[in-house]
Amino acid sequence: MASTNQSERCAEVLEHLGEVLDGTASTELQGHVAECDRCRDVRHEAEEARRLAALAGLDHRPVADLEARVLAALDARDDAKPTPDTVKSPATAKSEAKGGQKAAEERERKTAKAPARSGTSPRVAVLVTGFALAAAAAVVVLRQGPGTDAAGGWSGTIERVASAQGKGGVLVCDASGKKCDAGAAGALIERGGRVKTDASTRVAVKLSDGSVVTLDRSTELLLLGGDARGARLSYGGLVADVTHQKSQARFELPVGGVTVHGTKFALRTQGKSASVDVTRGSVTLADGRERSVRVSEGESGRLEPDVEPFVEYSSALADSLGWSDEAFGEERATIAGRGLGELKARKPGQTEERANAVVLASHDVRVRISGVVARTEIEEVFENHSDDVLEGI
Amino acid sequence: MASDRSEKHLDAAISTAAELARADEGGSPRNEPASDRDIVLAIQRGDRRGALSLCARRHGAALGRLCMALLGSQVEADDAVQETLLAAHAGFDDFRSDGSLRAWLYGIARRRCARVKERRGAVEAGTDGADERTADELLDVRRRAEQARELLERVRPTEREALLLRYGAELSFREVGEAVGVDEATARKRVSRALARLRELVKE
Repeated sequence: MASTNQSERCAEVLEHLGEVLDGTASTELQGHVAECDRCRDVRHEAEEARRLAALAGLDHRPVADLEARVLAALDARDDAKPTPDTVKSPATAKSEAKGGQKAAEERERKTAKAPARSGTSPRVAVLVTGFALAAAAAVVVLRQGPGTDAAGGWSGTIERVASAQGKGGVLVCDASGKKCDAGAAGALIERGGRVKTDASTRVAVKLSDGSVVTLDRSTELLLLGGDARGARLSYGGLVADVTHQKSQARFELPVGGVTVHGTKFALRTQGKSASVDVTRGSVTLADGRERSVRVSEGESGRLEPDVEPFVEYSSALADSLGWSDEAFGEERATIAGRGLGELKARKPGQTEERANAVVLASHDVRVRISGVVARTEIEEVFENHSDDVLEGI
Repeated sequence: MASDRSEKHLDAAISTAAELARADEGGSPRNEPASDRDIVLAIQRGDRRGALSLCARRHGAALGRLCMALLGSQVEADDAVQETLLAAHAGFDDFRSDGSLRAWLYGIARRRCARVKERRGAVEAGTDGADERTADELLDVRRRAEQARELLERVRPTEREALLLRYGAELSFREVGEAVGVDEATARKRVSRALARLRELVKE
């Protein structure tokens, strides 16, 4: 009989493990656990289970500018014009409010996934992360005023050409694709036109909305016709500094594409693979099967065949974008190297550094060693003491 | 020895997370004065944008950990948090101030994450192709977190959610009940059953 009672108590402990762990179980049950070896073991094992549950989300990296992103997404949603279907009469609204939890769930279901936007933080946030004792690139995000929407799709003008051969190396085709001429600084690229670079030439193109796209060697870019800002990167690589507007811009790839809200990033495609390294703002990278990921500043998004798009830390952000600055000789002379505790910044579109514009606010180094892998993270926060929008160099 | 250090590191990480969760509850680590009460007041005076802003500041990180635990993907977790906050903004009118704001918010997050998992489909559940590619960079916490998620995948969804809300998000049993739409007694049972199941899985 006593054994039966004992066994019932043990079963009761299993039924109330949560309370046993919290110490809120009945005194009798707690007393039984204290006396019963089996239940003490159960309790010990349940502690391990609780520990596991607490661990399960710890590898989440908090989003530094979540608040700004959510508010920007809210603005983007509010910017959309309401349709007759979405405008509720006061009576309807009142009726929904009375619906309580169910109404909330219904509204939740109806809430569209809003795009994330960045660049509206009121103050500077600079993150420098280094892997394996290498300092990575720095990103400055500052307040950015609303852009003005330019009507229609992109056309452009070649601003600069950098060729190892001294001249030539860029071809500009019209919208029909039948007429192509050698491009030079000042050459126009019409809407629907195409620009190609050879294996020794890089070219900077200013687009009709003020965006700047620098094409790497052996690259082809088609400016899409139509009313939306869009281009197709057929092959090669580019660095784009896209102006922020209400309408999104899109870069199509041989497989998938990138949706841009206003940001700076490096994009490269080869065959069915592609990568995007974001230095400011965020983009959405999608494959040909409508699977997508958001890539934020300091991150690298990848498209690989037969794999969902994925994101990883960009450990070579500076290298991904550096060539676009160095392609046009004069900048190399004006920009000195950077080191830890130091960040050089300039106004977007300018070549000269803004002296003492940003200062180091905090410096944090974390070293973690696991087996044969050592990882060093260096996080530095800089503040912009100027009134201008700046970008890290 | 290395194992001991690893354990200490994990303990420290869990402890830090708990501190963050408590900070979320009673004020941010940066001593910002906002509290759930402030959020409720903002909702009541019709300052929905301000309330959203406070929600993001106070609960964003903890929501991120919960969504990460449920989804196992940083990107999906971030999206789920954003969608949760926007859904909360849309539903502020329906929030009853006599209930727990945290429970209400986490309830939305739970449903968002469940929907994401449903969209993924059964074949893809519990896998993350990117993880293998970054295996060399994995740290102790990440490795253990992934192991924990793998085990949790084998726990019933309703019980898993209750467990993570209780011990991941540190909601009370009452709040767990509010978040998942059951009474407190049922919430206790779900948590206990999840613990019992997880305990068996750990022993395997």
